[in-house]
Amino acid sequence: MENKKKKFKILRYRPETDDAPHYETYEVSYRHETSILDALNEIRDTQAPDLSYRSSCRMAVCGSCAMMINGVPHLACKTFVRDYEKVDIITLEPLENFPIERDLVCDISDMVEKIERVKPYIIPIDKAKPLTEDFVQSPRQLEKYRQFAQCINCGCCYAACPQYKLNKEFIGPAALTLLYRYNHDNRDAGTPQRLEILNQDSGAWGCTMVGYCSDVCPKLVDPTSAIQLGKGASAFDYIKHFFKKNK
Amino acid sequence: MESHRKPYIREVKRSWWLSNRVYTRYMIREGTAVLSLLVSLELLAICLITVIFPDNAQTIIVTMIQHPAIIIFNIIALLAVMFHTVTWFSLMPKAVRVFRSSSPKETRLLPAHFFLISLWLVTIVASAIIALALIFAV
Repeated sequence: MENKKKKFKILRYRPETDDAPHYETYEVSYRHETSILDALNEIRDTQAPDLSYRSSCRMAVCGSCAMMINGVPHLACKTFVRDYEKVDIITLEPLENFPIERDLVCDISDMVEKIERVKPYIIPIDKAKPLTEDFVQSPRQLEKYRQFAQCINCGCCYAACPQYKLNKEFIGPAALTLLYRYNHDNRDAGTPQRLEILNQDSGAWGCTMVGYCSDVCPKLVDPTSAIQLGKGASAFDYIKHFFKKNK
Repeated sequence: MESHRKPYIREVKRSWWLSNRVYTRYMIREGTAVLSLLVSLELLAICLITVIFPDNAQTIIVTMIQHPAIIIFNIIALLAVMFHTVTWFSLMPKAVRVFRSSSPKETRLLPAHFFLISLWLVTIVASAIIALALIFAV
């Protein structure tokens, strides 16, 4: 069986002893199937028992293991060591644009708060309708938002977004994607509440269409598209209110 | 239990946009706006010359736009605008989400290259019309 070795340079930060993060280098054996997460498990089990990182599902569903791999946001479970054959060292850092809590663990509470702000749930049209009754949705109605419903809140898009890097008020790609996803669900009646967030400078208009969030999204959600479509909805809402005021 | 929590916030360097090719490309795209502004000022200067010096405006304008510095500047500005157009058009399909037909059973969306080809066709036709109008006007 093939058994090669690869060096990993990991940004370590232990708040109880360190004032600032620093790099430490490890070497692990890997096979064709070894993911970055497998390599991290190997490092923790054999060389650095105090190494902290998040992971859970190991199959790109939970979004816990998002980190910077050679400067690019990726899920560690969905990225393979074999994809870095040409480089001598793989650098692992916590997600950019978030405070580092410890080693590869960062504090994503700002993103979570912003996602909560857009009310990412169905606000029923008829609140009196019993839950035992059907809410009909055709395949076409589903297709309107299906792509944007694949978000796993991993934070890769926030780590890639230069607008969020420079302005933490910007609500960010994942929140705006979920905002679009629920606004275009035919079972939902929350659009007026979400438009208030979308229309702000920190909403869709805070995006300058860099497009990198879509490049790095591990679930191919395409937040850039959702945000630009959101700008269209926001502009339409502005024109609608302009004519209403001037009537 | 004692808490050692001390979140570390990484510094954003002024050179952040040089750390990744995507960011550099984006900054160049945004930077082309400065050249567009300078071209607008050049056009404004031409208009002002015709108002201020109505008698020998043509001589002044021709001398001005034939100056090597102005020619080089206009070539750079044209290349910058072309770069902006290419990068902007490549992102434009993301701003449109249309089904292939209005049939209620249709679930397929129009592909990105449909919008990309349409944008380039419109650009070519518009450029050709402007070029022909200028040639015949002269």
